[in-house]
Amino acid sequence: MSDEEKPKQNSEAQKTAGKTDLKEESAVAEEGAEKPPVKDKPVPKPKVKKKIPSYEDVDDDPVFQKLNEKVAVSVLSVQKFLDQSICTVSLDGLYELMVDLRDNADLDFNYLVDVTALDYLGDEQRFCLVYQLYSYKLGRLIRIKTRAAEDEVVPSVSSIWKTADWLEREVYDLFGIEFSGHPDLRRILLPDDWHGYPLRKDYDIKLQDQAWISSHLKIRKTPV
Amino acid sequence: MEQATVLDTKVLEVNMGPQHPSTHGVLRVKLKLDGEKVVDADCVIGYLHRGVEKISENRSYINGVPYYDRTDYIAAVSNVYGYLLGVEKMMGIEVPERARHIRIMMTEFNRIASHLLWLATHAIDIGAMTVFLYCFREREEILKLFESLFGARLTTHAFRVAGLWKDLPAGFEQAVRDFINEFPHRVDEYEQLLTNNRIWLARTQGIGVISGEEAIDWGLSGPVLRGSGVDYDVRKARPYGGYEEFEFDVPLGENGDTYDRYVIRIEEMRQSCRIIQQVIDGLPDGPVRGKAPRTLKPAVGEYFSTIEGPRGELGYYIVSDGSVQPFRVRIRPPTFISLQALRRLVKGHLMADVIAIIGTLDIVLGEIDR
Repeated sequence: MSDEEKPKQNSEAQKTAGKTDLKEESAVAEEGAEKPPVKDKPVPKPKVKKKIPSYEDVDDDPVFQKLNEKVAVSVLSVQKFLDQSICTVSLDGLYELMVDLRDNADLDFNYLVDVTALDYLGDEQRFCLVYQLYSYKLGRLIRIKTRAAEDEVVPSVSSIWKTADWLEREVYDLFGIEFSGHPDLRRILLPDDWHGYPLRKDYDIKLQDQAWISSHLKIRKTPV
Repeated sequence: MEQATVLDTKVLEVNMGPQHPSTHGVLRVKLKLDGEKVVDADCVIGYLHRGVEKISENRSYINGVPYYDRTDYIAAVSNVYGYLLGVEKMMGIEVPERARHIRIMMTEFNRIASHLLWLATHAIDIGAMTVFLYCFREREEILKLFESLFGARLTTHAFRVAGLWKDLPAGFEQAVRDFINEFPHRVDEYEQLLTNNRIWLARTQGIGVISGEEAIDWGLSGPVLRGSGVDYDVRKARPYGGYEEFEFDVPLGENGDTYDRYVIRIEEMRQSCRIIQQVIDGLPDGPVRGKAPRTLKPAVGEYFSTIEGPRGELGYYIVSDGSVQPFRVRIRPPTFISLQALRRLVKGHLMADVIAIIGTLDIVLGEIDR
């Protein structure tokens, strides 16, 4: 019985998570506020004026104008959000674009900062691959995004930047996205014989590979 | 078939670690040895995987903060700082000047504490016991400062959205000044023990050499990258949180070996000290916490917040779908990427040097495995 009750309590705790924030915030606000609260009342007016950040299309970004014409075809859009450049490209042209970004003498994006993925469950092209690139020459940080369906294989960029080796292994491990041309595509954080991809949105936070746990840790299956 | 003789050699596979699940850092390195020489190394990681990124998708923006303390627990202050900078940017929250300066001061203290722990353990790995005790003496002073301001020594939950939890306690500024006045002399003491020590030089010079170009290709950052002479520090390249108001130098190495990385971290401690001195001398008055909504609900969008952590470029890629919980929080761990280069660095070295090279990368497995 006690086992069945526990998960319920957990989910309740999650639901009320937002409410506990309120208490914490208000308590500190009271402590820190020296002025009487009446004075703070006119504050809502500037709040309305506060600009909500949005994606803006950019046509004249010098980085993407210097791209080789052949690879520039695969650029779907160039946007800006909070002063960070985001370039969306088609999956077919991804590899050639990445090669050009690094080898183009005007751009020289030789530092791959990060590779990760997003899971838009329910979309036709379910996954979004996100690459953060930095150019020491230009001092610019840009983000390349591309969408891939669940059964699509993404070209590995590990032959362009060595960093991508483990980063792509991590994406494969936690999202189950396959990379073609990767030298050593194995799981990295989870055990090799684990089933399931935890960072997918349809993988519940309490879900575990029960078969793996019972065979390796000798723990009996717990009711979820 | 030829008969094997005693003179034949063959590649031997040896496991290094993990010693015990409760040790600080559970890493397994599969070494391929030809006699004493390392032919290849394969790292097995993930023993400390707790799924922090998954957990943060199921918590509100504020509830996630304590988890980032526990990724890189040696640099808990930096970790929370990087995340909060991202959230504040997405929400358009202004942080009061006093809070911004105190944040920088505490982050620099954390950098010193982290480098001290690195120096202590790195030296003890190589066989210099005394340095360990010296470093922990000073680290203790910093942890006491943390405790008086944050209420905790290690997992500090240092900052809050829009500022700090509370203002500096009484006597804090004096304690900082005392530390700053004393610390440069203490760094001299470490240097007396190590910098010209023949054993230290023999164990570190020419070990784990990597050129600047290669370091960039491997995506290295922080002291490991600067040891190879690449001038890149996020605090200078893309200043955040008010770092542009302070003067400090970015030390660079020449040879890209273990010794250069040691020299750089020593010099970074002095530079951090310089920043703290400037903060404490010009600390403005005012509130330490700005206005922030009670529930954080950033507009649909994304932000990649990067800071210079003690171990390198620490990034938080936060994606919002407009709800109270982040759609995704991706942590870009600097040491995950440094550890990847271990395979390249140890090749051709003796087995005993593997310890020195793992030490020089300054890894924290809690962050690598997340």
